Amino acid sequence: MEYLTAAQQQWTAFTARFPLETKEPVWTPENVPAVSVLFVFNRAANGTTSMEVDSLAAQALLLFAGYPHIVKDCHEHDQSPSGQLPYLLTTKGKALAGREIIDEVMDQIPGFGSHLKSTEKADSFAISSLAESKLHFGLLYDLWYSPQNSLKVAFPQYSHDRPWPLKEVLPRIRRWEQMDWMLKHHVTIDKEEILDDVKVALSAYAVQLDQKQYLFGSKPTLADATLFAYLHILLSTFNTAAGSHSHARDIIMRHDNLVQYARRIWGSWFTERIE
Amino acid sequence: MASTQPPFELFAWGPAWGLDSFDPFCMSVQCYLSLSCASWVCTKSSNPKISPSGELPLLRDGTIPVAGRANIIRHLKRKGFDLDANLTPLQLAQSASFINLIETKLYDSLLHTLFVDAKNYSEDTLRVYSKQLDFVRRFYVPEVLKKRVVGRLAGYRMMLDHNQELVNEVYLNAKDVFQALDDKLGDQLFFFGDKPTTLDAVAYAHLSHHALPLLTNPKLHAILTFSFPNLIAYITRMQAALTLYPPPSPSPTPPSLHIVSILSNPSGAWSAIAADVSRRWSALTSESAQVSYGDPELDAREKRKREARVEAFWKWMSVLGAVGFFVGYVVANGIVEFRSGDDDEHDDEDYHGHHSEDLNGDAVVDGDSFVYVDEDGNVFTEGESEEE
Repeated sequence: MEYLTAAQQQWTAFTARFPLETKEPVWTPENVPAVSVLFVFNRAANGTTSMEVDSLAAQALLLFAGYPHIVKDCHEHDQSPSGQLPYLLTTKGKALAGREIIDEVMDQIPGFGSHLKSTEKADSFAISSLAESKLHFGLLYDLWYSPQNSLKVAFPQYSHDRPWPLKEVLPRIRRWEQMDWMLKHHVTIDKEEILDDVKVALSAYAVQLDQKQYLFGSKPTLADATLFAYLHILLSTFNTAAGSHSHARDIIMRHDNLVQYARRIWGSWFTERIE
Repeated sequence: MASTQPPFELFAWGPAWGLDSFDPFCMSVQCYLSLSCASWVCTKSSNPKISPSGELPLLRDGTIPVAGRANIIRHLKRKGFDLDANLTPLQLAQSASFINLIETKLYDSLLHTLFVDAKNYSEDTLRVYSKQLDFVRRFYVPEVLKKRVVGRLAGYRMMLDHNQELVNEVYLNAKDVFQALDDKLGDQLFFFGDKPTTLDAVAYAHLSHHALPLLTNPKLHAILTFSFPNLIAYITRMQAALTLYPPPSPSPTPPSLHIVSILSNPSGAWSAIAADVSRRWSALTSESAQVSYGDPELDAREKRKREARVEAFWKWMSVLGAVGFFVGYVVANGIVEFRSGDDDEHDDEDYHGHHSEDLNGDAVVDGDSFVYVDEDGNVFTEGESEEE
């Protein structure tokens, strides 16, 4: 028995050298947030706008509609219910993505877009599709298809805060996904055809905007959120990286009213970081 | 509009479900050509590879090929067939927006209905492609297209609609597009007044496919009929309007076979060869294809000449067949071998043995040289006997 007691004491003395400390949990999710949270793809350091066009369009939409929310950065697309950022965590505990965010805003803010007549609503819906297809293709072509642009511009965005070797692998996977999406929608990737489509889309937007403050009058709509997102990404992304060149950006610069429009919205709505 | 323009030739997918073409992009161009009163012929095609872009429709203006709906309409406008000549710049911008909306979101819902809906795919889509494609391609082309469509529509999810029912997002988008078209059309005859424009040609072509009641699961037809009767009335109105325009000219005889087409599309080429041979044979032998000169003696002489030609044809075919069989038999069994000139040189060396030179430069025979035995039983090689 004495030996047993001595052995026990020795064991206790040994384990006392490695005390078990219980730390507080790193992050405990809230059951229901007090304010809706919009999770967007990474914003630039101290920047207010996301580096991805879908996330920026959602940011613009919520700001234009006056929907109460805060914005948080996220770099995992799989967190979203649709597999693509952004997604909105509402005060009712729902996670919404894609058109569900638009439906939520229209339900909660009925006055948003109410100044439009039925034909103008139809025109607004139609003109949004120009950006979502033709400008989107032009953006993907400039950002991902060109090897130089993808290395200098796109890869740093997607390797941000990632350890090696993920920072080498993940951007390349993303590039393959974007190219695959392009080939699923077009049998061949023809540069002239893509740029012609971009020209048609931007000409239509320039004519619709003319000298107005927004596309359909003095108040912004969903179409403005979509257009601003594409204009801002194309104008700002290729402005900083040396050695990169965007054909779509060159076409935008030919339409002075669109450039001033993007600057105006940026200055009016995105000067403060919302967190 | 140019009146002395030779006819445009449009290569498009064939008709189905009572429509001029089962592809809405081909049908859009067909409608545009009809509405613009252009002189054109329609050639049914089931091979998109003839197009530089890899997709139909393809318009041939003389020797100039123009591929893609947008490029074709742009080309026709430059030639003077412009349906949008009276539109303002703002209306042109709106027209481009709505056409894009139809060709993206609305087209996605049509693809879902035809390819992703299992009943429609197995009972309707496959049947249409089987009739259009040749024997070999009908077994794999629909699956290739289906795979591409599934990848294209991968981003759509199941969602709750306003009635809290679970539906595919693609149908919610289709309803939104129908609503936008309905609002834009309103009480007008056409989208921009009393005259049809490019938007009308495209909208009619696509909406006709959506309003198909003949599908096994006509979901889009149900949405249109119950929620958007104005668009159904518009389709009927456009159908009636198109009957007032001149129809396309009869399609020309198909071009002769070319080696390029055989190499690029062997199965299609063999089908064309078989069809061509069958046509020539029936022209040669059938009584209905025979020309009558009105003179019985002349007709009888022509008939004897024709029969002699047929007999000579079969005689030469049998001779060629026999020669071909003989040549194939002797080559396959190695009775006759065909060798190149290098092989002959090697044969000479083998006959004389492998030659090498010693330090003095004299030829030394080794390897496969001739060996013989003389009367005394001595064994010699050819080289040794020569040296001696």
